[in-house]
Amino acid sequence: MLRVEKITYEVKGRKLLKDVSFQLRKGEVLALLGANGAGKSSLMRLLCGDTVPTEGQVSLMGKPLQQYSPMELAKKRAMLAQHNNMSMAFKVGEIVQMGRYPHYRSIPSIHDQEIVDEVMDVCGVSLFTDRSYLSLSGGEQQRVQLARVLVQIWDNPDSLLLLDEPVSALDLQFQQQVLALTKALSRKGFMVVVVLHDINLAALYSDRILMLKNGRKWCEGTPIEVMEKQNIYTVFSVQADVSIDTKTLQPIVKLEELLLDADQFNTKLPQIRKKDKVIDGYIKNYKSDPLYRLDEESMEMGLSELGLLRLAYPQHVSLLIPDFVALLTEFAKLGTVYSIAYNKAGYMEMKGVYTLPISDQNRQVWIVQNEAYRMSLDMTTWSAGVAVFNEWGQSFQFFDHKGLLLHKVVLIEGTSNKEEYDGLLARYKSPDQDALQKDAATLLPTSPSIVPLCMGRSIALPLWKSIVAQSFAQKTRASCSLINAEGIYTYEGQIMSLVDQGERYQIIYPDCTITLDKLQGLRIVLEINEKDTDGATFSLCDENNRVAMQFQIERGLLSHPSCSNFVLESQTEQLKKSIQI
Amino acid sequence: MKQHTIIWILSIGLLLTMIIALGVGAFSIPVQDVLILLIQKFGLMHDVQVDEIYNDVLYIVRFPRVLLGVLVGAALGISGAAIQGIFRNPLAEPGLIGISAGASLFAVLIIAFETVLFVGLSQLLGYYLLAFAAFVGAGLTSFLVYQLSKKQGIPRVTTMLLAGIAINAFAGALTGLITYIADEQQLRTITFWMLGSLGGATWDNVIAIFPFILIPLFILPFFSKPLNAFALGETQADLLGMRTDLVKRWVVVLSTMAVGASVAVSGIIGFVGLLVPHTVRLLGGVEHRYVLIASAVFGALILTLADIISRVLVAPIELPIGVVTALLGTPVFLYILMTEE
Repeated sequence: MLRVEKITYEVKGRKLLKDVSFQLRKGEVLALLGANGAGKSSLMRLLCGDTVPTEGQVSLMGKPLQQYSPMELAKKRAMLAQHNNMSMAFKVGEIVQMGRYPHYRSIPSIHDQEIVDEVMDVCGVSLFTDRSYLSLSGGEQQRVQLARVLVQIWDNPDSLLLLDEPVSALDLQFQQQVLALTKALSRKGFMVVVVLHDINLAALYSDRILMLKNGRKWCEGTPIEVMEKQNIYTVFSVQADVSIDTKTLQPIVKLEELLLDADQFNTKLPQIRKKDKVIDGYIKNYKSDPLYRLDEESMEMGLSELGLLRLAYPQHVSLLIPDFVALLTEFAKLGTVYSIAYNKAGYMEMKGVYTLPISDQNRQVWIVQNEAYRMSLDMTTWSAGVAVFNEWGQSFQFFDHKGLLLHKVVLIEGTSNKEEYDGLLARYKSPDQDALQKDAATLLPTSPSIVPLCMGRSIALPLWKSIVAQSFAQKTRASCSLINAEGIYTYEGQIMSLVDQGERYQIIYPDCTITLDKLQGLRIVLEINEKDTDGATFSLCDENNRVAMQFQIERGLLSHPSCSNFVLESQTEQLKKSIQI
Repeated sequence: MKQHTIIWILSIGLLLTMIIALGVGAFSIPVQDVLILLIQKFGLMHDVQVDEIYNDVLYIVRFPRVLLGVLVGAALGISGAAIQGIFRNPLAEPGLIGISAGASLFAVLIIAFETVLFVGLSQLLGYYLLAFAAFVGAGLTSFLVYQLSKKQGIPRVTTMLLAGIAINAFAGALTGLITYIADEQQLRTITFWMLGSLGGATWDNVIAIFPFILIPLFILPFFSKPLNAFALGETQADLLGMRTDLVKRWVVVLSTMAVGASVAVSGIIGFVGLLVPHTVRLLGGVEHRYVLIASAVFGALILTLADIISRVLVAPIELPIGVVTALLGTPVFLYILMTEE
C-alpha cells in the first residue's frame, strides 16, 4: 500500500506541491491528471523516493521511503521517466537487462534472464534485442524503457510501478496495449500510478483518477466521479462535453474545437492570408447557421453566396440544368416543404405545398398560389440552381446572376417526399458540374429588376411596430410581402406572434415567418391607396429606395388611440391628413 | 565479434607489440635475441649465447620504457572510458575534470621556479620533484572540480563539466603566464614535458607509479554495472539502486590516481583517453565491463605502438610521443567519425 501524507514540496521558496494526500491499495491503477506545471512530475519524483518532500511523507508498505536502502527500494518500485535520453549506443537487450541490476551482483541468474525474455516479448521489443537503442524510433525506445522498468519489479507483485507519460510517443495500438498491460499487472497486485494527458485513456484504464491543479489535489475519485465538465474546465481550462458510454459505463470526454485567429498573433505573414481567413470565417458562420447571409463587404471581395455554399460543402452541392420553369412545375410533388425567399432586408419562410404554377403571359411571371400564400416569380432572374444535401437537410437553392440567394426549397423530415426529391435530382442534375467554377460569367443575364420604388411618407419605426402589434392584438388579418429581384411573395393571415430583438424583427404566422435582419437600415413609408378603402400599406424600403417588404393592414388600425403614444405631434398630423385622403 | 574475443585479440596484439618494442630503437636488438633473453629469464635455454650488451640494453633501457608505455596507455585508456561513462558522453576525456591542466600547472611551476622557491623540496625529492608536483597538481584540480560540482551536497555531472572547463581555462592561463616569464632553457623543458615522452623511463619510475595505476586498473571494471546504469541518466541509475554519488566520487578518484601518475612520469599524452574508448566501443559495443577492460588493453597497445613509431620515424632522434599520438590519432579519429552511422 502506498500512503502519501500531506506532502509539500518546495524548491527555492516556490511550492510545487501543497498538502497532497492520497492512498493507493494493492491492485489499483491511479491516473494522475493535470495541466503542464501542475506538479505531476514533481509528485512522481517524490513517490519514487528520488526526492524528499519538504513536509509530510510517502510510505510504501507501511515504511517511509527514506528508510529503505537504495537497493531495497529498487526491488520494490520502478519508474518510467518522461524523458529517456541516451547518447551511447547500448543494445536493446543490454538496456532491458539493466532493469535486473538490483537483483544480481555480477552475472544474471537464469531466473533474471527468463524475466528479461518474457517482458521483452510482452512489450514487443524482442525483435530488437541486438539492435542499437539509438537506431530505434521514439515509440520503440519508449517501449524498450518500459520493458526495462517492468523487468525491475516483474517478480514482486507487492511493488509500485510509476509511469510518467508512458504512452506519449506510442501509436494507438501500443497506447492501448501498454495501458492494458499495466491494468492487467495491477490485477496481479501491483500498484500503478500513471501520468496521462489523454483523459479518455485515463477514464478507460484507471480505477481512480487524481487531478492536480497548481500543486494541489483538486479532486480524486473513480473516473465517473471526477470526469465532469466543471472539473475538466478547472484543471485543464478547456471546454468539454462529458457523456457516459452506454457499453462501458465510463465517461467519454469530447473536446470542443478551439478556434484561433492567426492574424491576431501572426502579424509577419503577408496580408493575402487575410482573405482566406475571412472566407474561412464565412464558411464557419455559414455552417453554423443555415440562414446566414453574406454581407456587402464579402460580396465586394468576389465571394458570392453560391460560391460560399460550394466552398463550405464541396461534396454536397450538385448543379442543376437551368430549366427552372420545368422544375418549378414538379415541386408540387415534393409535398409539404419550406419555401424560403430572400432579399437584403431579410427572408420569408413559408411552410406548405407548392401548387402548379400558372403562367401570367403578359408579365412573363409564374404564379404559385393557394389560399394563404402567393408567389409571383420571374423565372428569368434565376441564373443558377443547385441541389444541396448537408447537415441542414436536403434542398434546392436558386441564385441570381451575382450568386445571391433568391429562393430555397427545403425538405421537411417526415412530410416531404424524399423519393421525389431524389428523382428530380437525377433528372435535373447538370452533366457538367464544373460549369460554374470555370467561369462565373456563364450565369444567365437577368431581366431588369421588377422591384418597385418607394412612394409615400416616411413614418417612425416605433409607430410601425405599434401598428403591427395592434394588428396582432386585435387578431385582424394582415398580409406581408417580401419582394426581391425574382418576385413577390405574399402571405396573408392572422399574426400569431411577434419577436422584437431590436435589429432583428420577426412576424410569425401559423405557416410563415418573416424575419427582418436589419430593421434599423430600413425606411418605412406609409402608402394609402384611395381606391382601396379598407387597407393601408407600409413599405419597408432599403437604402436604394427599393421596396424590400410590404405590410398591409386594415385601415381602421391607424386610428386606434394607442398608436398616438408613439407618434410625434407632426407625424400625427400627417397621419390624420393621409387618413382623410 | 564477441566482446571477450576482441579483448583476447587485443591482448595478443599487445604482447606482440611489446616484444617488437623491446627490440626496436636507436640500438636495435633482433627479435629472436629478445625472445631468447626473455626465455632465459625463466631459467631456460642457457646454452644459447646472446651478446651481453643486448641483455643490458633490454633490461636497463627497453624494459622499463615498454612497461611504462603499457602502464600509461592502460591508465589513459581505462580512465577515459570511465570518465566518458560518468559524463554519459563519448567525447569526454580525463582532461575534462582538470587532471592534465592541474598537472601541467604544477609541473611548469616547478620547472620555472625550482631553483628559486622549491629548494627545500628539491633537495628532499631530488629527481622526482617534477613527477610529484604533477601528481599533486592533478589531484588538487580534480578535487576542486569535484567539490565545485556539488549542489546541495550532491555532485552534478553537468556542473562538473562546466566547472572542469572553467578550471581548465584558469589553470591554462596560469600555465601560459609562467611559460611567458620562463627563460630559454626552462621553455624547452616545459615544451618537452607538455608534449609527453616516455624517454625518462627507469625501473624506479615504473615501480613508483605501479600501484597508482594497478589499483584503478583492477577496481574500475567493478564499476561497469553502475556506469551502464549511468547511461540511462543519473536519476534512472538512482532508481536502479545505484549509489550514483559514490560512483562519481570513486570514478573521479581512481581516474585521477591513474592519469595523475601517468602524467607525472610521462607528461601530457593527448588523445589516447578520448580515442581509445571510442574505438573500442565501435569494435564491440558500449557495455562498460567490456569497454573498460578493452580500453585498458587497447590503450597500452596504442601507446606501445606510438612509442615504437616515435623512436623509429626519425631515428636516432626521438619524437615526443604526444606528438605521435595526436598526429596519427587525429586522422584515424576523424575517419571513424566520418564513417560512423
